[in-house]
Amino acid sequence: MLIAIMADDASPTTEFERFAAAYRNDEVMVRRAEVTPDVRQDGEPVSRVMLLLSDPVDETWNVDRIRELRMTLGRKAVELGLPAVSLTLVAESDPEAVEAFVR
Amino acid sequence: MPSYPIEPDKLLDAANLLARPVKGRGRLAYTAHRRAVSTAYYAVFHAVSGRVVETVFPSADEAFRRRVRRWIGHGDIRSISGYVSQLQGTMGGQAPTHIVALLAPPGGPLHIDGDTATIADGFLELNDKREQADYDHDAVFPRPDTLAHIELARRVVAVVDAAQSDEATRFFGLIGMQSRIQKR
Repeated sequence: MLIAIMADDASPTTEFERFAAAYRNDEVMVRRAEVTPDVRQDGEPVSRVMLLLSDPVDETWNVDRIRELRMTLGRKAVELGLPAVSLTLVAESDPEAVEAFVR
Repeated sequence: MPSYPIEPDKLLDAANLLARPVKGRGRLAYTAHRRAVSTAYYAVFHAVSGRVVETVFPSADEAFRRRVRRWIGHGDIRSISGYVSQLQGTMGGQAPTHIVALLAPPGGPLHIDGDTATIADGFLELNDKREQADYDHDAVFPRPDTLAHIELARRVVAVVDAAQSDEATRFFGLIGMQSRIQKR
């Protein structure tokens, strides 16, 4: 029997997406967030999180600010009972990468 | 006989070369970015394995250390790093009771410091991205994200090299104990 689990407005995934999309620190602002449940090669579940971010000042974002973002989202995922977070960061001015959001 | 050891700093330089800017549209760079992320991860992996054998065999000669480094597996570092992240609350699941008793004994001091947490969290992040880079056909590797992971790896390698705390020594020692003697 196939059981489909649909994300609704109250699901942890949806709550996590809202939380992530509202995140900002003094260098990074999240414009959009998408969470996709996945499984690692070793069978462990993982939350693939794609974030559309404000453009970096230089070629990439500050390593400490991104670590703050990663830790904050990691703790929120634990709080919501979601699997470990794996981030993919997309700069808002990168049209090719932004396509990843609409695939 | 000439020797060409694997040097984390040179792996990081190679990762940066793979992530050079490419003009024009096209997804060709994504292949190079995958290799860049994987290479950056290996810089961290080899930095950690080097510190593990230094910690466990402080007076052993270089030939001995190089041999036993090959016994340290990705999963060994991932397991101990996972316990650290679970105890820090940045990764779900419960660390086993015996690990809690060792690293976060009730009423006792927490044996995880900032350096150890940086190494553990960074290793887990890069280990996961390396797996995506090498196996996940659907993963995307935009250049700023690739550079962010290289910078993360550079930071973790620097912390691995510099960490001298008792907490870091316990972390590296536990990875050594998690590893097994191998035939290779």
